[in-house]
Amino acid sequence: MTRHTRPLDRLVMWLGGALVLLGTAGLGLVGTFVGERAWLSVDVRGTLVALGLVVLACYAVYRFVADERTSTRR
Amino acid sequence: MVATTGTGTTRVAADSWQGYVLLLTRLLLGWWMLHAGLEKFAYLWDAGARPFAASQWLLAGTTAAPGWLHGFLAWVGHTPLLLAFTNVAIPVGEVLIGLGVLLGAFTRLASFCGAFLAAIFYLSSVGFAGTYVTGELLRVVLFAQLIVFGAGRIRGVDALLERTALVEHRPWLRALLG
Repeated sequence: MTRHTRPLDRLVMWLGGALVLLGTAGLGLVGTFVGERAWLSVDVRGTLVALGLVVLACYAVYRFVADERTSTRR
Repeated sequence: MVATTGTGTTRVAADSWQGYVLLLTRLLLGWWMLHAGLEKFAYLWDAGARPFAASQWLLAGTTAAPGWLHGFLAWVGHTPLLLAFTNVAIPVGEVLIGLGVLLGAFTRLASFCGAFLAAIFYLSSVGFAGTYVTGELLRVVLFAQLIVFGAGRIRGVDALLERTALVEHRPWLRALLG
């Protein structure tokens, strides 16, 4: 369906998604077993999710700019 | 059922079951945002309602945000010009986003703005949720789905706008539609 053939595209999508999942499910699962820790604080987890969302938002903007250039050149 | 559009994004056929689910998602999400905006204007027709004031949220409602974000939002809350802007931008933004998504007009632009707003709301209170997954985060994901599947083209105004001469001569506008 949608083209994600370029390695950089896949890398960015994986990076953004991984940061969101790490901040929510990943560290949440760790916290379930080890309890409250400084490195599990909202500063760390919230910032990881925020970074992931920023990466995905930047990628979305890039995709539309890049796709538009491609379709204009055709 | 699905195909790739000229801009490389997925297009879902309106009469497919994916199309109906996408339409339902768009209408529900649009109403969710529109209602959130309209209730902030309730003071216009309800004498008991008060105008929206972002200061309470900015100063006291963001204590569960990461420190850098809480600091920034508290600074906005303490800066009169930015506070006045926020008091207007949030309700007006929610109404415009809600209308855009509900009608399927400039759906991608509206969805992107909606995702941004939802992300700010989510991060501002992320520490309150033990799972770090809240309705606001899911709202971001739903807006992303409207963007990537071009939900505005399914029984939406964008399907008509894309056929106008204005858009035909300015193909970059398609990035904001659909």
